[in-house]
Amino acid sequence: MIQIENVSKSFGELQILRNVNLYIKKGEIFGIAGRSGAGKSTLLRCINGLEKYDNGKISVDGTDLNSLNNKQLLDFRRGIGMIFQNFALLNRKTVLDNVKLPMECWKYNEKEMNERAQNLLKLVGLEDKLYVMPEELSGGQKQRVAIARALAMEPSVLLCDEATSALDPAITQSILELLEGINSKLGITIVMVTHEMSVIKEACDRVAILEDGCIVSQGLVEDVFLNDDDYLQNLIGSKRVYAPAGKELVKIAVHGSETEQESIYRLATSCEIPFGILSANVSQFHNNCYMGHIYLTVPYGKGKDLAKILRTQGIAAEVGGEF
Amino acid sequence: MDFGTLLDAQFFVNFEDIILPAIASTIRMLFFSMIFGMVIGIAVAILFVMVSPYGLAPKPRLYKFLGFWVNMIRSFPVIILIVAMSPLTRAIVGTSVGEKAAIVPLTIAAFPVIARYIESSLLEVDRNVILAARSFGASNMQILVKVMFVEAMPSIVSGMTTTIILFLASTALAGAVGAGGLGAVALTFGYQRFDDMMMYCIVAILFVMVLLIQGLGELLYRRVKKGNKKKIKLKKERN
Repeated sequence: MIQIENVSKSFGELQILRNVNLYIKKGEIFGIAGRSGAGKSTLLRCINGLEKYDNGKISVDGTDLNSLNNKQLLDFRRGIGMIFQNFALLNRKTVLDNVKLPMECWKYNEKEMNERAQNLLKLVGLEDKLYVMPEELSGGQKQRVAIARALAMEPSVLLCDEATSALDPAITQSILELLEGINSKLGITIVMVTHEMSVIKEACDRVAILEDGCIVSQGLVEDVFLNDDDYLQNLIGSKRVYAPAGKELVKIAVHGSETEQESIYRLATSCEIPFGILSANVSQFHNNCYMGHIYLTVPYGKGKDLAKILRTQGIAAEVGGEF
Repeated sequence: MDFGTLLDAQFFVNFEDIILPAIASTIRMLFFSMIFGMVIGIAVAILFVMVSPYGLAPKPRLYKFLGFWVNMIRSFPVIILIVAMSPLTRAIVGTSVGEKAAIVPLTIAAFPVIARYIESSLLEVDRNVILAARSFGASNMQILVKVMFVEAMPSIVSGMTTTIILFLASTALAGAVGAGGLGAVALTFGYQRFDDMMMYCIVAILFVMVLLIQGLGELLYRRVKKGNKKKIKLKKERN
């Protein structure tokens, strides 16, 4: 669907993207995570040609972006919707007129515009706000209008640039649910740029972590979180876990499988090593499974034995003084 | 000063024969120079917004080049511009004195001011709104007309109000170099004949005109700012 190969970009001396390679499948919700300044918004804008890139190749549905002339590029962008952090609505137009704007630019007839705009506003749950000005809406409602507008040209891809970053957690949740609904109902591929890992966990199928313009980690959301590498920790800003004096740590990955649920019980009843739970970091993901890590403390030197027992039970475990 | 002697019969004669035509003349000068100034100014502003480094199709060198000439015209005090431009004025309207002749230099003086006001209003439009318009495939012209002008309209209206008031003063100034209108009357009677009553009367008239323009501008601003409520109401009733 979206193929990004070896894409690089720099503004003068400053390199924004370095050899980025990504493949985004049709119909998936793909997350691009990273701290501010990591280049994630720039990467997103390269996908619909709002930003030019220096090297490499981007193609969407088999169309190579660099092969398009200006007019073809405008036509190409019809197929890609986009929403923004600050909603980017026209303050002096009503909700309905905002949604009609893309269709106006492409010279639809009035009747069709009204009909489609009203249907879209119904889809996002704002059918009673057609003639309201954006300033009278809440943040969540504004983003809903923006989503309706982005869908007006019936795009196959929806790009979300920090779409929920200005919203509170409850509203974020409802916007994510709306986006997931759009993704499953209309089959639209969604690419989400965000710095909020909770958004990635809740909504995305796959994720790529961007740091200083490089993709440092990518894969299924569950895998990336269970892998829990330094880049991810860097991004979340999670505090490191240290072993208390005379102890060492065993880190267990929790996948949410059946066997795992009893693992602590089995460990406690079968093994001779005394252990305690120091900390646990397990959270719910979009497919309603619980994943994360549990940190156990064991007397110094016993960690290896405990890890061995765990591995025989099919549970991934690491030993160390800190994580 | 004794008002009884000042407000004599002569004043009323002056008012009808001199002041009223002068008001009409000033309004005509202001009206036409503003209309022509806006036509040229909007065109130049569009050009600026296109080629500005922050614009829709940045061409920084062309922008600098255009900016150089526009700034040069702006650096002329209006009264000097009127004198300096008299050959051109004569070529265009056939004379370099009078009301018609004043419209040419006033237009030339006004369009760079108007262009800069409109340019800055347009460039103040939220970058993300422009990006959003780009993202659904709007062309530069569509972004300019359907997005930037729409969003910038309140700011443009208040900028134009300020400009019109500024140029009301300039038309009075133009009176000093043969343009006629209220400025000329105030100078002839007040400065050359020491007829204070006439002078203050004209100052009062100018003051009222400023109030009117400002009031109208603010009224328009409020209507534009609110969006088109009337249209919305009508639509609501129809549905």
